Amino acid sequence: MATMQYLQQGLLLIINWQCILAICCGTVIGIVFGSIPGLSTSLALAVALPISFSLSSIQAMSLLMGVYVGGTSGGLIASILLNIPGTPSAVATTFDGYPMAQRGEAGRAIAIGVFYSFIGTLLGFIALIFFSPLLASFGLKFGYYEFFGIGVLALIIIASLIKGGILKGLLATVLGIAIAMVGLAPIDSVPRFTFGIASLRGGISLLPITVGFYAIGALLDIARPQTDNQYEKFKYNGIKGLVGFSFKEFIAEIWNCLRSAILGIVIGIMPGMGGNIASLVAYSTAKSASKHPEQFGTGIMSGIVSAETANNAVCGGALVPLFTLGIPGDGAAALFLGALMVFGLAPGPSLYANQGDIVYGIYATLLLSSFAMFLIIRICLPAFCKILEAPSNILLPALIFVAMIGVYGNTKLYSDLWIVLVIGILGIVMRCFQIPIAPFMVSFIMTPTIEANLRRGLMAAPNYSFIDFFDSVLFVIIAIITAIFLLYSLFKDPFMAVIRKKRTH
Amino acid sequence: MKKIKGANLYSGILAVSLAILMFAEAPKIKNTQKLLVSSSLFPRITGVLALCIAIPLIVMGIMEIVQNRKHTEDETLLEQKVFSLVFIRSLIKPFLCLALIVLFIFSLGYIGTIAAGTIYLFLSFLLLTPKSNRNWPALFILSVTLPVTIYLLFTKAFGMALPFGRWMTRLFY
Repeated sequence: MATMQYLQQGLLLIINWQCILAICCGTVIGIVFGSIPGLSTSLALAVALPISFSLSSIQAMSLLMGVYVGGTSGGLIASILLNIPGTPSAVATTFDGYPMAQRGEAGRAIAIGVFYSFIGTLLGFIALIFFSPLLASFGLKFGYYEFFGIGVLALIIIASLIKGGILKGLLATVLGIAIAMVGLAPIDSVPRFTFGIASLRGGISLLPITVGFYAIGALLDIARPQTDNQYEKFKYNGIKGLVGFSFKEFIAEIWNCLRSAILGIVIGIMPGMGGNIASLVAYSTAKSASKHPEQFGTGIMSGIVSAETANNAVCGGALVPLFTLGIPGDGAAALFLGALMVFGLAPGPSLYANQGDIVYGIYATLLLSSFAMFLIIRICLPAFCKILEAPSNILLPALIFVAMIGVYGNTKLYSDLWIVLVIGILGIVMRCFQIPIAPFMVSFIMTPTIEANLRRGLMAAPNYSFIDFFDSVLFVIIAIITAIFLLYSLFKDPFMAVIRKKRTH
Repeated sequence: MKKIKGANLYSGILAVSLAILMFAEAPKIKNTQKLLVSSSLFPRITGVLALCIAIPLIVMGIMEIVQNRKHTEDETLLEQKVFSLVFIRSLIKPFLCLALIVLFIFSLGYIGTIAAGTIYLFLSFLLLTPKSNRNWPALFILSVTLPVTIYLLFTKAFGMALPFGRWMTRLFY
């Protein structure tokens, strides 16, 4: 009852024209930053932060929440229209969103994406309001062993479900791990694989990797004579109704949506794991749970539903440890923490007791921001789809330029631009050798978490023994699931098929 | 992207190269803790994994090549040469695109965002636009306005510092 009372007070606090305007402005800024490859939600928050200082605390939080939600959702636009993720958390959206755009269903794909982004945020909001203490305690049960197990499971799932066999998936995974290891090692900060280049000591961030793989890859694709101006072939065919799908389709996706939202919320709670990991894990889980996993990647609704629900559910999940314990769930939440401190709101249990109305007011801004995001993207949908009419020979060089400037602006390092180029070339080599990119992205994102937790786990264990990992029941369950996936995928691999064929001959 | 012949074999070779790199670099990593929990642990594990993946890929690649050899015996030498020429010609434009990106990154520090962006965009537009569709004035105007707009937006509105260029600074200040 007290929760509902606080929520009511919170809603009253933000239902005024100043807060609603701040939410709308923030959402627009977030969508713009999210939809441009090379610009991230964190960058949008960093830009909006100085503006928020001139506002009252609740107005500032309204603005920042709008940016956060808008930025998280805006990434789907470029993912679907251009096959270039607007933000790292929209990588999984490209898998099915872009094939739909190729079929002339760009509008429908965006409408599905934005609707399920809204649903994801809504479910994250519900979790935040009603299950904060419970979720925080569950999230904290995950120790080194479990984090390590979950990370390996995610790698195996995504590598095993790739078309072309698990061997190529695992090779992509290993390549991702190798690139992620460049820079200072976790825990003891020892430099590795820097080859004497000082700028590599800071490691390779996700932004140049995303731009390199997707933007450079797309540019080189249109430069090849046989695929000249492929984007011009796509057409925007309009969409049915408000959301582009029937009630029957909605019912069919309920379990996928709920599962992805739960994954998003739980991953959001875990420190250091953000929307990018959530969407990829939710996508691979949806694929493995589907009766027709072979349809994933061909442009089906389920792929977009899982990715978009999960990455937006993270918004609510990431705020749970932030408000209850003062631990940010991801980079964007860390900026939120900074903003809260500036306005004299120290996160922790005392915040609920002393300024409960403001806390619930901030929660309510999450709800309003998701409404604003849904309405703005849905209204501007035909305008976004006009991008498809722009000739690719103009659009892609322009996008590369903006993305490169965004990458430079993020770190002010020229070396990041060279990394974009090198990764672009690596992407081309991988495509030539039919090595999938998705497992590379997942392993690149997950490696720091996996390595740090493996080493911490070994340090915590007597005699540095890996056997001690099996003392944890949760780890044992995760390990069994991982082993089943690995064995099943190896058995199904083309390599094993060739061996079996040889034997029968 | 068209699959190249012997993709599995090349993938296997890539995996072996990665394994060699991991094993060669791992001993060079400074160990601040016991070897079992040191920073070189993960590279060693990655090296072993890469090697485990490489072996079946190379075996599969060799088996594919042996099978394909039977089919390609019918192909004449001329057909193979024509295919190679077409393949090499198809790589010219992508290679030039990459060269333009190299030029852009290299020139950014010297001539700044606006000039480097203008040159990159104009040359890219020319390279990618078919000769029949080239509207030189429109392409030039677009090549100038986009970098100027982006520069002003990032520096004035977002407060981000973008390179103005060493040569440009000397020229204007």
